[in-house]
Amino acid sequence: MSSTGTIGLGILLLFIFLMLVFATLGRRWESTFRALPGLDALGSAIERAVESGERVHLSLGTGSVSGTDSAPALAGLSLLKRIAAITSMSDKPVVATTGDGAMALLAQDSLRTAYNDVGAKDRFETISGRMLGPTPFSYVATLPTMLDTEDVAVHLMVGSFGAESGLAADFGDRKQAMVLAGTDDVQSQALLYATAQYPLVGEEVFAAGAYLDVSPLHKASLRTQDVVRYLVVGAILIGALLRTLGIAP
Amino acid sequence: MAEIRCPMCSKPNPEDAETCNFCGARLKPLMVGSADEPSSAGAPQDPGQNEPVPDWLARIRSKAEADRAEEGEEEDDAPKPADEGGGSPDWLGRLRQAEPLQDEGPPEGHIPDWLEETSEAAEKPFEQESEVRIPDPDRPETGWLDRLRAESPSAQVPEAGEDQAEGPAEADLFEPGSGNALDWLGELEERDIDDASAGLAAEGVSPWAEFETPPEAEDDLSPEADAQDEGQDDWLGDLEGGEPGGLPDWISELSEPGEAQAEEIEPGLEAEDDAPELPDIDLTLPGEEVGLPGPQPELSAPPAMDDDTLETAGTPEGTGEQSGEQSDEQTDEQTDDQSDEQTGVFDWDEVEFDWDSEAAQDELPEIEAPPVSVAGELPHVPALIMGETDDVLKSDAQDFDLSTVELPDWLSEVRPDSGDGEGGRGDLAPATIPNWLEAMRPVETFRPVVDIEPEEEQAIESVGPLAGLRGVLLAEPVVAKPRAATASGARLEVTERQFAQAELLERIVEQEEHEIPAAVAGKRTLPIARWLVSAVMLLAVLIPALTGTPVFPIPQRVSRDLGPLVGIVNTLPTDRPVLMVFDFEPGYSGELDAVAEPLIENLLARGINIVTVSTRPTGPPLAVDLINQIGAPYQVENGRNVLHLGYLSGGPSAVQLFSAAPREAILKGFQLPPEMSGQSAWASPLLRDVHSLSDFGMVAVVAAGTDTAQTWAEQSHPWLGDTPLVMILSQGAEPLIRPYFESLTPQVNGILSGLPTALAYEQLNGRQGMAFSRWNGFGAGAFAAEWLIIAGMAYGLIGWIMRRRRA
Amino acid sequence: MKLGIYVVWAAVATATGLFVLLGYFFQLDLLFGLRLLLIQWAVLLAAGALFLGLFNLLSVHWAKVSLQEGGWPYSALLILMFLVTLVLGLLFGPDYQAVMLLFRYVQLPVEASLLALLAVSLTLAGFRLLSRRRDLASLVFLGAAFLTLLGTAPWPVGADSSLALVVGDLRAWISQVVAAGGARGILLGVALGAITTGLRVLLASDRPYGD
Repeated sequence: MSSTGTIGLGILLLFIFLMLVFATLGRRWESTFRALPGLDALGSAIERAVESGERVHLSLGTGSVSGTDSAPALAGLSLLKRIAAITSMSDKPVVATTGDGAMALLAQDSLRTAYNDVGAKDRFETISGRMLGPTPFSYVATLPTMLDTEDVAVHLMVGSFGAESGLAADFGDRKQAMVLAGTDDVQSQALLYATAQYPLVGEEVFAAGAYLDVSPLHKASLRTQDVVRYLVVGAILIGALLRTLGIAP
Repeated sequence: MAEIRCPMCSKPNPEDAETCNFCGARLKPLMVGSADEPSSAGAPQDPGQNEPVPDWLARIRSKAEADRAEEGEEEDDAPKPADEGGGSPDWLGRLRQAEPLQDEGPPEGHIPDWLEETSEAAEKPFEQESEVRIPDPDRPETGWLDRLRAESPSAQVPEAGEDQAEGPAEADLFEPGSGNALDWLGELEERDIDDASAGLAAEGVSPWAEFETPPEAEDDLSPEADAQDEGQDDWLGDLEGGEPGGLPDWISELSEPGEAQAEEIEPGLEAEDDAPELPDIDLTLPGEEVGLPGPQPELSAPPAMDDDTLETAGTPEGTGEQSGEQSDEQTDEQTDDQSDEQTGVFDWDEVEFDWDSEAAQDELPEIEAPPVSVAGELPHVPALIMGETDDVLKSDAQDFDLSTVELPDWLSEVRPDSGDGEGGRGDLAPATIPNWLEAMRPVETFRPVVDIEPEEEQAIESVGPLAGLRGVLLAEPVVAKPRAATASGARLEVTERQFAQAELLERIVEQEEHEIPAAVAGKRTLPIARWLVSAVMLLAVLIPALTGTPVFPIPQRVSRDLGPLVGIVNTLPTDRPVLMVFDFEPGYSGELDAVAEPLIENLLARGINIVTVSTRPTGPPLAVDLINQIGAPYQVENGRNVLHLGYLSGGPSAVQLFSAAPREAILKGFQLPPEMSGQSAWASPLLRDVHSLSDFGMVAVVAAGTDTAQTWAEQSHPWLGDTPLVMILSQGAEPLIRPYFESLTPQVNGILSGLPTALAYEQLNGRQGMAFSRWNGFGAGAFAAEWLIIAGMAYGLIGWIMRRRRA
Repeated sequence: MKLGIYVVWAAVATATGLFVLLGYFFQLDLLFGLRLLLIQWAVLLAAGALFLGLFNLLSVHWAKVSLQEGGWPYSALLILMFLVTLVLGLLFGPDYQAVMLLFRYVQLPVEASLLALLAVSLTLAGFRLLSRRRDLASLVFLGAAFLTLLGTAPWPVGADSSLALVVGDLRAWISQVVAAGGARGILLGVALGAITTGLRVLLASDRPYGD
């Protein structure tokens, strides 16, 4: 095993260890996260949508399941479960759309599980998790029609997006819907910062599960990220210092 | 074996017994309307006319009718009995016309035990004078209750909150007609008078309440229930030995339902250990006096009942405390509805017993007979009047003179109360009501003050089984008939907040009924800003493109990244093809075609073969179009110097797979030359010597996003070897890929990004390509965007300043 | 789904993920071969999922046309073009001339237009950003965007002036130092989040495949 592999494996084991420890200590050691305006406003926005008979739309992005762009979509699936449980009894339950077929299947599975958990198994519809288009721009081209016909009031974008994310957020803004958007791509984050009402910058998209209390392990993951981030920062500073002093190779 | 309880003494008797073994009362009442009884034309119609009628009641009725016939209307305002109005519906009315039964009552001369005991109790001195006259057995039967009423002042039922010493309204002395007036009193001797008195006094309930309670209440008449004993003896207290709290069933039947009524009637009564159980009933038949059934044995009439006695007699079950308040609603209603002419009401207020007096033991004080009602009917209680016969009933129907009755000493010393009740009640401890009972008391607003009329003013019941009795809660005019609530009735107190909430609720309900018109769709505002910005941008791009005016000069400055790239391309071996990866969406083709063109042109100009591949389905068509467009001047031929491997499915995973084993990742090709139809692209002579990624002369990745570029940079690096990796990027992806290029161990060997660099590359190539043709439009559009952003910033800042000033 | 079956799926997912992950760290032939095999299976499954997604798309639009819901003519056109392209591609291949024509004159212009629309939308968003979100971050964002545009786009006059050089260097410094550094930090955070997300799936805490 190469040195890179060793370091990588060590970091991986550190991640697992910290996540399990924080998950175990979660109840006794409550964590405090900084406020995210978008996630704070999400609950009330969903409630208003449910009460007014409007729909919540969750976009899982245009990334594939087998690539690196699946991570934010997996985070979006956790969010989808939570929202589906809330909106299961409304007239217009949540609808999840993707730009990838495999992600659409996962969305359907997540919705089915959420409906089963709340005892609304008969209210699940397969088309509530759908693929709008196989390519990013074909997905975005279909989005305005979907937002209009489904009477969307809350437009969530949690997944892997490219430049088309700016268009998607702009379409939601034209519909006067609450737009909460987050992705892993930095370029897209810049576009979303300008176009979305509540942009999620950086890894905030991965923190949505912890803020919505999806599971204890979500909160533990967030705390693990913080710990490792500090370690990385320390390593960067130390490495820069050593490099500056000419010590490091 | 089944048992029957005596209606008088409540002692159990065998089922087949006709008379009580203890008191001699008839156990099985005579049926009204039977063959043995004379039919009565004017018999009152009552719902229970088919019910068995006690013989005593029958005697009372018959006597009352007889009295009525003799004396006629006594009072003008007395309520007419039901039978005079066309037939009394009640069974009691029929009793008035019933033939006196020969076998009614106990045998002559027979003194029941209870009466003997009563005589003994009468030996006790009384604290208060009472006027109780024992009815003279030799006297003809008269309305003995009428005589009582005539001789005793009417007493008021104590008001609520009055001193507990006040007794009930029925304070008239009991005036037995034939000397057997105290028979019923004597029966009560066998009861646990102490229980009754104690309970009554403790709860401060009228002795009438005793008759208003169900038979089960008998057990609660505990003499020990009330601890406060102010020394006022009650002649009923001497009637010990009877069943604890035992009330005769017939008395219980006459009682009003519910203990609460009983409590409210006479609250604040004292409880005395010796409180008698003697019920205080209105035995008056409407409009008639009923004489005693016959010569009564010499009895020691009970002492005059004082208020305490009456109060204690009326204690309901379960009450053992005194209460200073009296809720006499029921009693007040009772008195309100009863006229003064109602007969048969025994005014207990005027009955004072002094149990302690020995003289009271010897003789019975005079007991005033209750005044005769208009109807003149008195309820005949045969069991109470021992030895009474039918003759006595008839003969004494008109008048029952207690003065002729030899009363025991103790009874004679009983004097009726003055009626005020407050004077002689001071030494009686106020009855207390237990907490649980107090909690059941309705709120003050729901407690109308009821004044209990004097006995003479109380109306006589004319219907029902209680016809002829005074002080009865009239069913029809009071209970059955609807009446308006009194002014002091229940008033709902509503606060302003509650009123406002009620109004709000009412408005909400009313709004539900109103049809709300459909909301008019909001007028859609025109996106002026969007149109304006779009127009500016469009004009900025179109005008230079249409006019061809060189607005923006070509920059002389060359990017420092261009040099290394050009050096790599110019040093590539020409016998090894270059792999170009077209990993971008068709939408980016406008920029990336222009950026990639000079590099492709440079490769074609040097005669280097190009092989394309893409990890996106739309990549191969883009590659085909671009290569064909750029390679036209260089006679590019598909399959000879250009080959398209096609679509590499699998995303990033496929990149690694292709990097490791390209021939295994791509099996076919895209738009292969006709001579290669059905063959794999790897059969082409261009790829004859290519077996891995490192066999390519260079790998150039054309990407719009950083992810794709990073994937290729990271996944292919282990398999590139010495083959350079060049990135052709969009302007936005360049900052994130530059670290791969500028690191000490760069994974990217060259970068070509942005239209300015492409334009400079074209200048180096000596050809004006797409970058040049799009330069002016690009410049104008960017220039417009710059000014729009400045305008937006200014607009936002000015608006913010103005709002702050307004605030 | 019963508990037993759910545990099986979780076990399969976890085992698969662990094998692929360990294959990156341990250079063992067995692990390498197993990793390649699993990746190939994932590629095949992704292709199969693409078909399922297309079928799902068809069913949604078919239901729209059947129920005559709002926008059903567009759904009908989509179904028609889908079938035409599918038939042509299956019969003649994706590099068939007709298919290429469809791509060249339909898809390509549409997507290019959408990207052009993006440029307008972004410009409009920049115009309204400070009006909607009046904070320091927005101000810095707009300033950086303006400087980048100014340093990238050509100047109508004074393109070779010293000011243009200064602005160009400033733009390079902003994009390659400030923006790149910030982007690197964001990428590190995203990588950490992606690691934890993937680990939650490996630990079967998150089960996107359903219970």
